[in-house]
Amino acid sequence: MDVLINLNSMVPDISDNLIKRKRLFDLIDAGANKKGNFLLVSAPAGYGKTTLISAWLREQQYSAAWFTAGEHIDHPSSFFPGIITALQKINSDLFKGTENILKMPVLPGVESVVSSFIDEMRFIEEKIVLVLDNFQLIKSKYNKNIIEKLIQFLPENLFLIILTREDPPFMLNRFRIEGSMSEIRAQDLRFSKEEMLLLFNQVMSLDMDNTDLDAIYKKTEGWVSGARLVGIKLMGKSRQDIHDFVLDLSGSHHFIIDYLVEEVLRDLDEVTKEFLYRTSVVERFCPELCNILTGRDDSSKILNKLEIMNLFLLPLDDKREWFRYHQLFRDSLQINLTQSEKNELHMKAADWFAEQKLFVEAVEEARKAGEFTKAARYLLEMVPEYLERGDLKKILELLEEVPDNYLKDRPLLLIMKAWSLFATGNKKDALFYIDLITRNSGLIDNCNKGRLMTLTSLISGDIEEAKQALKLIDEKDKIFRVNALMTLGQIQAGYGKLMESVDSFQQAYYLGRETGQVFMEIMSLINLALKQNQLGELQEALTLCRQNIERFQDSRGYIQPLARLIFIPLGILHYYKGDYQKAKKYLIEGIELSECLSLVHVSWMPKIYYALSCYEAGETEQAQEIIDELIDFTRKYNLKPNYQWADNIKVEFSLKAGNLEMGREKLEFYSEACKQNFNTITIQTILTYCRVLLRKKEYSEAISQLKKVFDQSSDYLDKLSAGLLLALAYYNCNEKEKAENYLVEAMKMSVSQGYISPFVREGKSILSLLKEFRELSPEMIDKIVSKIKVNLEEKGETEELVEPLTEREREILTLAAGGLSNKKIAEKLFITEGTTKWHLSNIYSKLGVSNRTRAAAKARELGLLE
Amino acid sequence: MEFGRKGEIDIEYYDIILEGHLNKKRLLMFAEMEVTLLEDGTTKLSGFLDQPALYGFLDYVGNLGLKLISVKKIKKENQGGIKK
Repeated sequence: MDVLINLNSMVPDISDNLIKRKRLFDLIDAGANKKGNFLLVSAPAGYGKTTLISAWLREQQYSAAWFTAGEHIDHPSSFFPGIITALQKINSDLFKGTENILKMPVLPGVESVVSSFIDEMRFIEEKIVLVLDNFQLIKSKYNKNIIEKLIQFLPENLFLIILTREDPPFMLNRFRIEGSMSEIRAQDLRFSKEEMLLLFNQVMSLDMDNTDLDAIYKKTEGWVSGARLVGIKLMGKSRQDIHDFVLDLSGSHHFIIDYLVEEVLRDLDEVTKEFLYRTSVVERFCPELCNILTGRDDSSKILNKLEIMNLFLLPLDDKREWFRYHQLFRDSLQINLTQSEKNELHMKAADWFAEQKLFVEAVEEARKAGEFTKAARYLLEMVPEYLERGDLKKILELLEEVPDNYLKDRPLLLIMKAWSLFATGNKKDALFYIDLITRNSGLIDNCNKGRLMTLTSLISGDIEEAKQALKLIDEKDKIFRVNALMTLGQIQAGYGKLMESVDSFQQAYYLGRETGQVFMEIMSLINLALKQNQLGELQEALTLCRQNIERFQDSRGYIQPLARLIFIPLGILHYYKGDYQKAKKYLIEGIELSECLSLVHVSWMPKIYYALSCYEAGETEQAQEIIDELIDFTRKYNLKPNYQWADNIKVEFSLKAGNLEMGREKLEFYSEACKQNFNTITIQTILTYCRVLLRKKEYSEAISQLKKVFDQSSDYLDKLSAGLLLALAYYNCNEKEKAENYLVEAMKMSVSQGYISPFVREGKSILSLLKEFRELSPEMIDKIVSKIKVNLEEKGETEELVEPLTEREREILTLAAGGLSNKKIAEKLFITEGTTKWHLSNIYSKLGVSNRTRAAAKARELGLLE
Repeated sequence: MEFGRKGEIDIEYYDIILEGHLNKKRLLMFAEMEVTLLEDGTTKLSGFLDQPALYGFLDYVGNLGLKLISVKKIKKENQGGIKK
């Protein structure tokens, strides 16, 4: 485990001589006993926030996790993952699903992180206390949003405590009014005069009289750290000395913390002072690091002494190896160093961290010293290990902190940068870096050349280039190899080389399982299943999906969110099987999840199949609406192949509705498409065109186009459709022998694997063909015919729902009936607005209505609303 | 960290008053600003700040637990002998 994160996730053990603060404990208890409550402890530095909560925790039986934000924690890769690490100290099996989402190379949507977290909280039976310390350091909008969302949907068994020096920008007033928040503020935390007396005279064994106490109380205003500094200063002093000190203090106008620290330091020997100054540059330290910073060899002893003196030294781990100073104290120490002294010390720390292979810290320290050349060097050194762990985000974040001109001699870092830009859709900037690397390509070794080519081949679509990339990348760099294999598989599929493509995705999938990058593994798996399907291996693909879902399911039946992306291919495969209700169920879950994860490009294909499934299930209106929506979307973003695909389906739908009208322009476009090279989209376009030709009874042109597809396409599903349409064409020309031959071919292909939909899709036009040749495979043909019939039957006014509403649908319907807008519903249920719309249209189709007013009326009629 | 900026547009002249007298070393942080230790036990820092510099300053002060008494923008006509 990362030392950095590990230290941040320790419950602090402040085994101080504490003053029992019962009134505050009661306040905390009251909050803890409520369900789904959070406690905000908001006060300036030095009011004893951390001490209070850790003392309270020690008296409780709760399982607790503690996360302290520190310098450089404010990255998405450190903050919530750090919280998960802290929680996993309670039980290492917890929150695996959330952990994998957080590891995605792209930033997952806030909703997906929080909803997965809440889901996983549900399986925990006990109450858990989660403390977020130093929350004022969390400035990033993303991180703040996660916590705000979490508070809005706080699980009942989580007691969240936030310690901060400034109020977080949440809607605190709302929480106050709702009573879902408890608060402890500076006025509650400050010592009462009695508590201060207790501290001085009992805990610190001073001999102080009331007049002096009054004066100190007035000066410090009950401020806890101030009182403790006074105590440290006065320990072992006589009553007269105490009185003199108090007199000075009262008369001084100095900023009190600086004054008190200076007073305390005055009593220390030079060695200790120097030690404190020099070690204050780093956020945390161990004896060995202190030796490096001070040039001494007895740091262990000095630290020991400081701990006994109670000099604001906080242990960070059980073994008492790592420590930090109290923030205020550290700050007052640091002002004794000049900038150049600080830089020199940061650089020493950087080198030491690098020697320990703690590269994240090494990079940070080098950066603080302004030594970017070194920062870049250490960053480069950490890349292989982080790649191996699948922790890409940390590298990419640190890259942001090093100016470009320090990266230019380090091709691997530039490649990582280009890659991350490309992955986040910033193609233009990615190309800039690629260009930069290529111009200096003389410098780069083969492995880097290969890594670079995974990107350039993706852009050029050149198979040879992708293969070359794979050859050049080192065996050890699994992440880039998976990347290269996925690129290769994609390009191969684009050229119709499906066997090769399946092979590439299979390799990517197996290698992906070794990387610990679950997201990349699952993306390979999805592609593999879909390509297997295109090769006609429906059953193998189904097994693959089911086995993997099982693999990501725990004993309680919970499936990790990322694994639920497998519902996308699973839904598509069910469509091909002709099981439309199941297909819809899986697809909607996949769509919802991919939108939640901000994977818009992933949610596109399941939407197409959702529309197709709706159509075959008899929900034609809804199917058309979805297709229209997709067409608008693809037009808006100028996604040509996607547009063409959706448009083909629109044409098919209107053909089936008996609409043969088609503009000249469109027909020209179609015959033009027939002359183009084969690829997935042109083949689909040709097939659609042939359906039009068949309806227009232009058989000879249709037959010649279909034969081309049938003979040349390696895509099993295209071949199947072409064969079936050829049979239909010959049948309609009364060439029954040829028709039978092609139908036999098509049936052969589908019977063994159970492909139903390619037949059902042609609708009633193939009914007489099938009936005439029923003897070829009576069982299969009966099944197909029955599915087509479902589609043909007019949907009458039934008083019972064909399919009951799901729990989620009922929830949405209730809210919609209550007059809430889609946006409001989405907010309430914690889903996207798009998903809400999808659910609603699903509800309409189940109820057989077309708008929300009628849906509400119908639902009331059927007694579906409470 | 250094506060206070000179010779830029969109900047304003501010008087910021903090409780307590800051010591010399601490004042090095504010090298670009004019510092006056007032007799009532407060410290006045004056200087040209743009908005990000002002917020950065307030953040710094807040983290130290310094008590902020006032922040006041000084109108041009009242800046007197102050030069940008």
